[in-house]
Amino acid sequence: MKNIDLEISNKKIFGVLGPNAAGKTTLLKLLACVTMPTEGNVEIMGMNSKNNQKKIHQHLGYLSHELLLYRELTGFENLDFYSKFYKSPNIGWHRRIDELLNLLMIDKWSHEFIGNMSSGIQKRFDIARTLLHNPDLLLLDEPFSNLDLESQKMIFKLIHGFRGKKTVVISTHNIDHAKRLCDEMAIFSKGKLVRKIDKDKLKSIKILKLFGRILE
Amino acid sequence: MIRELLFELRSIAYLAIRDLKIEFRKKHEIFSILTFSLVSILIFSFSIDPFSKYSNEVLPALLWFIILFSGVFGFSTTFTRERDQETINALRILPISPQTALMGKTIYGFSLISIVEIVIIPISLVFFNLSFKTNLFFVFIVFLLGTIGLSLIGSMVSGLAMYSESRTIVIPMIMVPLILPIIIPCILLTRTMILTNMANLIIPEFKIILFTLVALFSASIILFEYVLVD
Repeated sequence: MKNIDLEISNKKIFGVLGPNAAGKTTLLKLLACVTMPTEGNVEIMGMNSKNNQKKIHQHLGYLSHELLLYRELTGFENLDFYSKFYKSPNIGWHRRIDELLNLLMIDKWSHEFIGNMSSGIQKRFDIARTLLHNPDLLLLDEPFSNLDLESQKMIFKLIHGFRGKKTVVISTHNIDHAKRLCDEMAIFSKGKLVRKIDKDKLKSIKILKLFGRILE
Repeated sequence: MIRELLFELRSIAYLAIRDLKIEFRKKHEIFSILTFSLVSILIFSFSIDPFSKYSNEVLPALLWFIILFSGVFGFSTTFTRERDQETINALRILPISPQTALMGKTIYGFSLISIVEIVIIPISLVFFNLSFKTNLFFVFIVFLLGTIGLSLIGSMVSGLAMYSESRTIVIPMIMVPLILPIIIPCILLTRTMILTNMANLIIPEFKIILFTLVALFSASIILFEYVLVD
């Protein structure tokens, strides 16, 4: 990625759009402090990503392209393992995990090994992992991929519920999801920021045309 | 400061427990390591007469040879398995330092090698009709320090080599030269402890092991800061 100058507003849902190899995943990895910039700076919640990874990770939930769960552990064991590294919520970890399992309707799979689950259920457990510590900043890389229509609707509703409460950055191919969910969005192509679009212009048909041109 | 240190120590324990849980559930490494160790003892026991005067000369080298190669088998996958299963980013997004991840893997490796030692040391002493003449406390310390060194180097090298396509070659090539300053004094100490009960004879080798461990620990702490970042 080159010459990216981007500011993401607090407690807004920000969409990152673009075709394959546009740099969406790289941008999210940079924000998640998984990859470090070779030049320039990334500031997250006022903290430089190079020196404050531990602090940033306490407040950040990252849903990666890859499954960040251990296949040899059950769904519950995975969530229990991740919970050890974060500050305990008032309700306690077991109740928090139960709450998420119910919310994502995966409680009946909680004692099954992740490796034995379908990719859609794995994804829902990974979303539960991302939300586990109730992070202020959510980075969701293609949250609707590998999900059936019903699950997509559920995740859509869940993300919609974060509006005004959390800062959410979503990367997606799906312009319809982005238009309905996002307050702001940025369109990327070949590692470059093509355009940043605010909420007023989101409904405009021109975005579809612009995105279509990039995809071509 | 103390709270932060306690958090890091707890995190190291959680990481090691998770790896051990996965290991005992799937038996990825422990089965092959134990098989290799037991078969090695069996094969050597056929060629070395347990009542010959040479058995106490050969056994220390044999024991450490088995421990070293068990380590090479075990450690070649500690970080690489995470990378192959794409869970390496799970370590990167946890609110822990890279050094904590390294120490978690070191404790995991230490536990694996310790299990091998608990099994093979008594068996090899019986097969070769030998016993330690020194106080068993010294024996424990020698094997403890040797295993710590092996685990630390193994975990660090596994982390360094996880990005390499030819890591099965790279890991032993880097690991073996690094471990020699620990393994050679350990062999000499084990030999002394089998042959004599003179504890004062083993002090110089102890110093070499301790110095090497401190140097390796410092180097791994500094180096690992850059290993886990993509």
